[in-house]
Amino acid sequence: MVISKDLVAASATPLILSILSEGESYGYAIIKRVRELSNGQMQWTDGMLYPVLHRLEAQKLIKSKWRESETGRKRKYYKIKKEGTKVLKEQQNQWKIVYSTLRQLWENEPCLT
Amino acid sequence: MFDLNEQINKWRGNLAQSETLGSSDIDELESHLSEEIEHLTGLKLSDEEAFWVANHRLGSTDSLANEYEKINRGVKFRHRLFWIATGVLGYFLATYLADVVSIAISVSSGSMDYNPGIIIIVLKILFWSTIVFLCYQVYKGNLDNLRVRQVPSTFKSKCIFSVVLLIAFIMLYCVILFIAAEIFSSFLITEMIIDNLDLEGMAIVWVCIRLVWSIMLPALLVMLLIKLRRSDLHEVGA
Repeated sequence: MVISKDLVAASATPLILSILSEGESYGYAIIKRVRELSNGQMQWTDGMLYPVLHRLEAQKLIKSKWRESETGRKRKYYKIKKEGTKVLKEQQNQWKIVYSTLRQLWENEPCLT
Repeated sequence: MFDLNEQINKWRGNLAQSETLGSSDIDELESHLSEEIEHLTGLKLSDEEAFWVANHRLGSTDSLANEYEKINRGVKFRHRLFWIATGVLGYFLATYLADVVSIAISVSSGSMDYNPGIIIIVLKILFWSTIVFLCYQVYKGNLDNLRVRQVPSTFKSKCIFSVVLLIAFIMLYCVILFIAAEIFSSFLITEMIIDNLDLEGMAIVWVCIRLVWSIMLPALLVMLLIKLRRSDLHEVGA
């Protein structure tokens, strides 16, 4: 099953912030991680991640720095900022409310089981 | 025969043409593309197959340009301003060179009566034909893969670049000022148009105007160019 575009777009910010809260990372690795976690069911057009990252950077939630990897490849690494952690907490709470609301509705729905 | 580097350069050229992506944005996407290609060739895909699959996964040039346009609103304007400023600066440099060359020729010919006007006209025609030629090449698409950003790419080289440019301007200016002032004052004195006292006052005003116009304006343009490029550049940290 492939997740709809709207849902992917809506979940992009909390996904990116959550992955970056585990430690700094770069675009390619972030996409790989999302693919692994969702068993390939969340498909992004790879290039669309970067404008989102840049927007988060403009909002001062994350910061970036160009660095050379061990293999000599130049990569732009992103790191979460204090403000980003705060926003992530808020988003977590919001998503929990959405999730628990839907779960209650679906658990009471006999035809779905 | 499929040439991977050539294809990547072409792809970069297409992205650069959209004008909504800065060179740092393109570098970031290229880094992603190369990583994906490396991963795919590891899965026994050929270079060509890997390139097209990675390209498809990254998204089309048009859709990328659209997405970046939403976040890089100023980039398109800065791109154009950069080329306008470069053009004006180029014009200044060419005019200065034309002045210096013509004065040098008139001095070496041993006569101040020599009219340097023709040489200035010839040099300016040469300069403008070069501009027209370059415009035609851009129109034909022959210069699409030109990567101008290679000129100053780190903070140190940017500083050296701007200092060298400024020194070149000041030196050229001094030559013009010195020789032109000589010709100017000797002309006025010999013709007895005005007396020496007035001449001094006039010379000061003239020097001041030339100073603002000939040094400050190019200096401001150089600063503008550096400022415009800074937003596009990145420095690789340790």
